[in-house]
Amino acid sequence: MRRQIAALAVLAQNTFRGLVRRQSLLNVAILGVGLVLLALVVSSISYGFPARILRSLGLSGVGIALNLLALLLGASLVSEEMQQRTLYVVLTRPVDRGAYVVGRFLGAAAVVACASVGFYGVLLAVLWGVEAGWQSADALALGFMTLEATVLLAFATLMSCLTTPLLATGLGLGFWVISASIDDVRRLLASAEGIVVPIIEAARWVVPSFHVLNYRDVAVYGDPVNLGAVAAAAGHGLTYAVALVALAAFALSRRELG
Amino acid sequence: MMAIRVRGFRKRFGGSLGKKPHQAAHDIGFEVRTGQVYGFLGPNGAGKTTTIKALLGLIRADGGTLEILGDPPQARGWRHRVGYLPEHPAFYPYLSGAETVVMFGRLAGMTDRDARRAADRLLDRVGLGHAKTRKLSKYSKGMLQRVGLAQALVADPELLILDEPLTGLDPVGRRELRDLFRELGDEGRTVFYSTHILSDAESTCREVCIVSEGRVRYTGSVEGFDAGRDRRYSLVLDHGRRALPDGLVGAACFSQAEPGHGHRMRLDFDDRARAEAALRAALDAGLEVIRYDPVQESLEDFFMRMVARTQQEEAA
Repeated sequence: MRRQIAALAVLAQNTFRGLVRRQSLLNVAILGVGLVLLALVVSSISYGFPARILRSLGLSGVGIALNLLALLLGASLVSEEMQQRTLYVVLTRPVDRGAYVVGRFLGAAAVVACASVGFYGVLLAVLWGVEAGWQSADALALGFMTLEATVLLAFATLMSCLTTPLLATGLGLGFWVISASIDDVRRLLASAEGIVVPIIEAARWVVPSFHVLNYRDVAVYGDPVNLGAVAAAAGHGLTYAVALVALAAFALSRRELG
Repeated sequence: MMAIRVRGFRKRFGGSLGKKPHQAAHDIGFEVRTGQVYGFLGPNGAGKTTTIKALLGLIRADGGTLEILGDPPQARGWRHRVGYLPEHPAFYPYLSGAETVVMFGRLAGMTDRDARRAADRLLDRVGLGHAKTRKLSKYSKGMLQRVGLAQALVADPELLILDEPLTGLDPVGRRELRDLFRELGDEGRTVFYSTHILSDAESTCREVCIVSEGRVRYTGSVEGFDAGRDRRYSLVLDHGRRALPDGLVGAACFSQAEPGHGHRMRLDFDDRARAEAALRAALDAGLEVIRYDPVQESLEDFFMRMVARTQQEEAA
């Protein structure tokens, strides 16, 4: 067990080193900074509450950039190693395939976490420019945005154990859209009848609700925080992330590396 | 004691979702004793890499039994006792040679300090002492092969499994690594390596297993295999525009005009006495003898002959 944890740390560290050199990371970083700057432009030309608009649009931009980053990193996290055959030598060491997946995932999750801090740093600098500084609710919103991206990363990692990076990215986008809209769709179809109702109910259990993980309104409008709801939301996100990574580990353990 | 034992190994790829099935291994079986330098020979596509991947648990066998250091491939027990170098090794280009070896050492359960010491020593041993801190993205193919060998050796393994380890090396590099394999064998390690180049195995191994088309064609000593190969005698003549002596071409088992040389003719004989008689006849007739060489049947020709013989036996 100790040996597996040590191997896991080595794999996570190596994954982090590899991913931070990616061109896609730079592209997403540019996009994230661009979205924050766009928020600044929009807030400056809007009527009233510029700091609130800036914070709202800025946090949304950071969320989009983090999710895109998670998708891009996760979609090739394992399949690329199979294509490049770097995986073969690693798996002939005393490293479980499960530990390999978890190590890769943790390395990528660390990149996402660092990116979220970096993006927020840019947003904070811009907020200071309009004389609106840091507030503790931002940390809550940012933490849940990072958790949402981590769930997406876990799904993309699962897909990368099963298919090509391109298909994994496409399926990840679908997962993102469904997870972000499942609660709204359910509300819209509250009075609907027929086959669509059980499908939506089933989907609600299969995919996570990103609506539950959205604490941006707390940061923007100062909505009251219910600690029980925060804990439940964190549990919701973490459960899905752990389950998806466990599925990814299982998928790789069954996979032929021919 | 056996380091590797393979019996009746079968593996088929494809066959689902409209993919054409391919039987990569039909009934492969061989045994490697501990402390041996053992050659696994065969042309490209013979089933060597498939067998190695099954031994290492990267793919599952469709049939047969495989054992590595007494354990089945899916077990974890053998993994810290085995070093593996894949065909066309691919590592992380952003790591240096030393960092690569340290990483694989740590994955094998070594402490950071021990892994660093081992990396330092092994990179010197494989001839990369001058490039320890250079990134792998700047390594040549031969250097990657060497760093691959260093990472395979990092945890002081009992058994080394090397898939085409000499591919991509220049003649000097090939010789150095062949010498290293012999040294490793002298240290009591088992070295199991695949190659499609017979001379590599001849100079380092006592025993070999030869496969082609997913079937074992020969297992045993190198000498025994060598004796089974045909020897030919090749005579190259320049006859100008003169006629060749009577019976000269008829005595040869193969004759061909040398391409690019207007009056040159190559004659191959499968018998030494016949070849020498032909040589005397050519000299007596005043023909210019360009070359007279004993030629051993190439590995490829040997494979083809064995395959043809097996097919004839199966048909009979």
